[in-house]
Amino acid sequence: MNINSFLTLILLLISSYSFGQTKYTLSGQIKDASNGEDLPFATITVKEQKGVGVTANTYGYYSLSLPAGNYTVIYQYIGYNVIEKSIELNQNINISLELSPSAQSLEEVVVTAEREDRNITSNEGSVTKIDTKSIRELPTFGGEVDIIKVMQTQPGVKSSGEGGSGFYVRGGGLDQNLVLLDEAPVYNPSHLLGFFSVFNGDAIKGATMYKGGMMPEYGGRTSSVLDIRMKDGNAKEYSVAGGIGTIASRLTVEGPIVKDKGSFMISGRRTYADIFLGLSNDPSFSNSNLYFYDLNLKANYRISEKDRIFISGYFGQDKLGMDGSVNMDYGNATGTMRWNHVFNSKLFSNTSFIYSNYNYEFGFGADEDQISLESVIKDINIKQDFSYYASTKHTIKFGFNAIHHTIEPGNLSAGANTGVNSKDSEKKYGIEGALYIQDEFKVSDRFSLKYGLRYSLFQGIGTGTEYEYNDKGEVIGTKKYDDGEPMQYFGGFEPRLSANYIINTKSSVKLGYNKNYQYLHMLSNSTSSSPTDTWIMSSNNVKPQEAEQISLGYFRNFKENTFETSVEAYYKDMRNVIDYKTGANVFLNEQLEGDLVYGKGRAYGIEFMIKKNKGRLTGWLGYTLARSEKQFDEINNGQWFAARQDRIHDINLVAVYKINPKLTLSGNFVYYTGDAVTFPSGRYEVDGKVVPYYTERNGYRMPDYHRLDLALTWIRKKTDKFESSWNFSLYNVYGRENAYTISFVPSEEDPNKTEALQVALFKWVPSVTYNFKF
Amino acid sequence: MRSIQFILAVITVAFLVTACEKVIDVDLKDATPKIVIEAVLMKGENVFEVKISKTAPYFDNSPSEKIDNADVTLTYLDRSVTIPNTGNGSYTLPINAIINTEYHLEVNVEDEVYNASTTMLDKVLIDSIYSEYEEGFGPRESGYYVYVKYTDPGDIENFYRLTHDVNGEYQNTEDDLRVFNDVRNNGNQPRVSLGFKVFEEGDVVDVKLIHFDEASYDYFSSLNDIIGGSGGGPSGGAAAPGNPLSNWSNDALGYFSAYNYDSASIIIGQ
Repeated sequence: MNINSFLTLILLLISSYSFGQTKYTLSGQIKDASNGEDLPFATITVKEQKGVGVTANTYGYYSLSLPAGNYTVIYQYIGYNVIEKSIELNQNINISLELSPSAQSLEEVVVTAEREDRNITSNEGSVTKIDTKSIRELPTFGGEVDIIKVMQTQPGVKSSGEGGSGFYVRGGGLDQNLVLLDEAPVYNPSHLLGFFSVFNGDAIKGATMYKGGMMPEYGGRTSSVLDIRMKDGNAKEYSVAGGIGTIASRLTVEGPIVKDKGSFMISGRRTYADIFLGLSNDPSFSNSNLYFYDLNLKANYRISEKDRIFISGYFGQDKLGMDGSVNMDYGNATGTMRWNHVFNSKLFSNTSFIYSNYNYEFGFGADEDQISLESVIKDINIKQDFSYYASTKHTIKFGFNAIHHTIEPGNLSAGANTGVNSKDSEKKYGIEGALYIQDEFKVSDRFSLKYGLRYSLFQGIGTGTEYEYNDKGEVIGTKKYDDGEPMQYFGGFEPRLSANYIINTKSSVKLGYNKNYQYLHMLSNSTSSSPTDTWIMSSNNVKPQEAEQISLGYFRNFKENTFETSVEAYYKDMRNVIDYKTGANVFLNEQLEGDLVYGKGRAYGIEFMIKKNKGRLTGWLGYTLARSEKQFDEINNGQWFAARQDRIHDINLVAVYKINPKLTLSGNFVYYTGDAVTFPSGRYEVDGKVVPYYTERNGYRMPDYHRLDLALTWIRKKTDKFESSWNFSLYNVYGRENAYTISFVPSEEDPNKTEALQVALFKWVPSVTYNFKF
Repeated sequence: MRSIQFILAVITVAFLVTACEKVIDVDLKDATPKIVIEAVLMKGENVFEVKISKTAPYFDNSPSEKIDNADVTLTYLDRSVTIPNTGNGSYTLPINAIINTEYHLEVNVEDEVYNASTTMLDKVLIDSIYSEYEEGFGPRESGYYVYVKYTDPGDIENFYRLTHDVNGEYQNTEDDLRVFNDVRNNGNQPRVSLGFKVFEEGDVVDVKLIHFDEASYDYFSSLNDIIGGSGGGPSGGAAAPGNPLSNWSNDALGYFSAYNYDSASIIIGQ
């Protein structure tokens, strides 16, 4: 579809509001009665008007326009008592209310949020929402509740490898996921080389993953959006919660600033392996650093009936190494300031100022012998979003976003003894911008559409140097840009569409389409996330990555929404995909772009999901059959080949069983086809060494991966004043030695022989966590 | 780069992990055998040797097939000499190699012709060699570390390889392969180590600082990435595993390189 006809269609649809009858608007804010937190995505329906309803936005705000009359309005959110309110609508009314959590009986275990049948009714295919609350009883790795690890158990989402917190979505790459924490992008969401994510379970309210059909307000990555929101803080009373785990301890304090007007939350987490190391007599251990910490802060305050301010921040660091010998420190800092403003009952606005910073510092030696390297990525971002609740049929969202990116690829400083020159690699600057508009259109009580358009752009800015390369990757030309001088410009339209047709109360069909551009690209020497991964901007050599995806799903619920099932198929076409020439060096290489090759990718698959939401036994079973392939003229003679993440079969089973009100048993089983990898197909001797001979990229497979985890949660005490519980987890119950690496090396016994050596990381990892709240 | 991988390895191995290693069976395809040509020309009057063989199946532990029917011709200045076969895939001839000269080698095997060139450079002198006792960290052992200082010529790009013998024995494991350039220290007096290798008191360490051309550096540097971390692991040395960047035409494996070097010796602890 060309852009003009698309715009015309939008205008036509928007102008089709029903005129005539006098309409009034019902609007307000929905909150959780127990702690005053916003209830995003709560649903509001009208008994007398079938098919009329609205979902609250991420701030719990809703607005609904109806003809004058008497109505019964139903407010609901799963796991909370339903409120029915009779209203006489003869003027614009504001109704803000609080829903209270329903007493949790054995039969009512909350797995999903919101409405019971939202699987069917929501116009959201390819979307997964997870509340932190609902994952507390699942098995953990090292005792840390980790929302990313749970996302990895969803069909279409695959972990980057053993224990890794990186993920692949529908065949896309690790860098193609936009990971947002309160709207701020997090460039390296991992601790300890990926074994833990930076998202402290105590500070996170929940996360929404868009695998496809994402709304036009999101952009900048081609594969997925993971939108993570921090808790707002208890607006009713002060509370303290915490936990002591095998590797880390956590403490969260929250409470009202002024009761029901504002609240705050401070949450911290720190590991303490190093404290034990400090007790060691061996100086090589007692002088070493090995810890990470996270600090989350959030506060919100209602300035007036119409204005609300949110400030949130995250700060986390990993410190690894030993004093005076080696060190590797890295971490993220993000900050978001948001202003919600209700212009009138139909127009809601949010303005965000966002800051994000990722840096790593790596050093070797001490004093005059020291070499250290620092790298920084910094974003300053302004985002403006409007929601216009035009009528019962149309909700229009529009806005813009402008991000200033700074990348400092590497600042090298060296002591006099080393003979190395201190030098800062050239800093890179760029501006990424976007404008978008979207209409949510309830065509009928069965058919709803969300369609929109995003225009995104990228402008590289000087000071900078552009290199031109020949086929061999040698520089054949350079062009210098002055301070502030515009470099390369890219831009394009990104149409988005999501449609839902409700066949009957039990089933629906959903269709999604999205096109995305990506202007920042991550390059990595390793395949799991590493702190030294390099981000580069689009340039004269590196064109923006593009992806187009179409997905179609059938959703059906059984036994009064006890079982949710779905089948979704997708096809994704990717262009300007980046890979490496053989022997490419990613690290501190100013002419890195000459080592890259550009090609195409395609990913397609089918995802099956069965989920049980109610009863003593809850959980889900997911199966994905999928392929992900790439094609480059320079690799494998231009043939299509399997991407590393081409895991053909992927099975996830998560089950939670309530033995009694105090004891819960849970399990998690994972199976997937081994990653596509490059192994040698021959050997030869050179320089007195046995050297592997490679013939094709990713022509082999790692062994299949499978693992079972179990956990037991024991609620020791639960009163209004004090709650405590224990969680015992065992990762990899049957001790499967899953291959982490396979290397081809000379045999230790006989150096003339070669052998394949497999390294498995974790055989069993038990952990115990004690949690409390008062 | 190596040092970053080292740190990553320290952290992964030393603290987190009860990693278990085992030898496994992997079913590898047998590629069509490919020609491998290795030739090093040393500065001065030396026996120049060219070794020609073919690749073998990876787990085939018998010696690889040698090629004894090739025509090997070395061309330099206005001369052209044939290097005769001396059996077992070896071709040798005494050559007096001189500096600032380009050498060209042509190998003809069963009507396939392979070409490579290399330049003999002037040597770069070792200024000093010394050893220091250092405390270890994780897999980095405590012991004597050996350092070499040299003055890098500032007017051109320079490429080096550092080799060493301990008590008269040439050290040639994959950890001993040390190659570097002057991108970060052009014209300075850099200090280079023998990796993380530790020595004991009384060890006699003979070091050679080889100065060679860029193609040689590219070969050994990419070889280092491959033998340092081959296979399907997440922390392999190279961004994409492949064959080393060879200066041979026609897709042959191996290299042709000219070495000029300076030597230095040290007795540890004295």
